[in-house]
Order: sequence, then C-alpha cells, then structure tokens
Amino acid sequence: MATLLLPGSSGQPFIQEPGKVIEQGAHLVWERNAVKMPFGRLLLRTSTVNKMFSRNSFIASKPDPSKPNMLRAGLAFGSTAVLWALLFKQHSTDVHEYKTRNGLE
Amino acid sequence: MGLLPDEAKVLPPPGIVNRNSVWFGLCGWATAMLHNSLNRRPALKAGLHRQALFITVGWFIGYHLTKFENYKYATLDRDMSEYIRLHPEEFPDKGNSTWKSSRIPLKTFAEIVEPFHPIR
Repeated sequence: MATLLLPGSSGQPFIQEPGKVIEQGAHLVWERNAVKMPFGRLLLRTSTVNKMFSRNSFIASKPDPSKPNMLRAGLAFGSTAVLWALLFKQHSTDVHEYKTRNGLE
Repeated sequence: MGLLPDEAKVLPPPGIVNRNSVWFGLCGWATAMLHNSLNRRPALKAGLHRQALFITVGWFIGYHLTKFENYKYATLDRDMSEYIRLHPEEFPDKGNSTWKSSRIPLKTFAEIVEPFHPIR
C-alpha cells in the first residue's frame, strides 16, 4: 500500500486506505492504489517534460505563497504599465484628432 | 479605433475617468478578489499583480466601449435630426409662431396611437 508524505509533517508517513481521496488545500491527490496503472505508464517522462500542461500526481506540489513566481508577477505588472501607457497615448491622440478636425487648434 | 470608422474622430473623446471604465475596472477588481477567495487566499492582500492587471484591462475595455457608445448615440442622433429635417410636416410648431399653428394643427398622442380601451 502506498503511503503519502505531506509537506510540513514530522516525517512520519501517513498511511491511507486505498481509494481514499486526500484533500490538500485546493488540490486533490489520488491515493495511488485507486489509479489504474496504464495511466502512469503512459506518462513516463512527465516529470521532466510536461510540467506546463499536465500535473503528474507523483511530482505535483502545493503552490507555495512564500516563493512567488517572479516572472509571472513581473509580466503582470509590466503588461499593466504597458496598458496604461497605451491608454494615455490613445487618449491624447484622440484629443488631438478631435481638436484638429473641429478646427479648435 | 478598430471598429470605429474615421468619422468617429470628430466626436469629443471621453475622459480617462469615465463611467464604463470605472465600472469595468471595479468588475475586474471583483474578479481578482473572487479568484483570491476561491483559492483560499486573503482577498485584498494577495495577488496584487493580478488585481492591478484586471483593473487595468477593465479600464482599457471601458474606455474603448465608451468611445463606441458615443459614436453609436451620435449616429442615432444624426439620423433622427436628418429625418426631422426631411419631414417637417410631422413636426409642427407648438404654437409660438401664429402662421405655422394656423396651418398645421398639433396632433395629440390620442390621435396617433391605437384607441385605448381601459379594462378596469
């Protein structure tokens, strides 16, 4: 029977009954004996290759809020700044166009 | 202006702070806070990059939506004014000028719409 070692535990394995679903925060980890073997056999290289598109339950982990994904946060803030710049530029262009077409400048 | 024709540039552009922008920005902020709540994170303090991005996207969409709305209402007004100009017989003067009021009598709504049969 496979055992499950939860992060932050004292190191003692926590033995579950087969087929029981263990909830870890927002993520579900299927107890190993309940999953049919061919699925695991098909994904032999997922620990190295497919991290972006599928999450193998054997190497999945809870998202850690103390280690933020700096690339993602940087991209988010960067695109925020870009969008605001675009908005202000578009607005000034519109104001200039309006004034030119109505002969106010 | 992607979906606006060139003539829309004659209209005064909306301000940066406009009704649709504020509303969509608030909606984006609510979405980010809901995302936090559903992932069991503190609603206001977590994922600030996400909150900022969603507010900005909402604000941006709201600005362009306001421009589109202004253009649509302006075309409607223009078509309405053009119709009034081409059909003056349907829009008689209220009675300020004696010449017009004597020639073309004002119609009441009762004469234009279908007969009213009250069921009380």
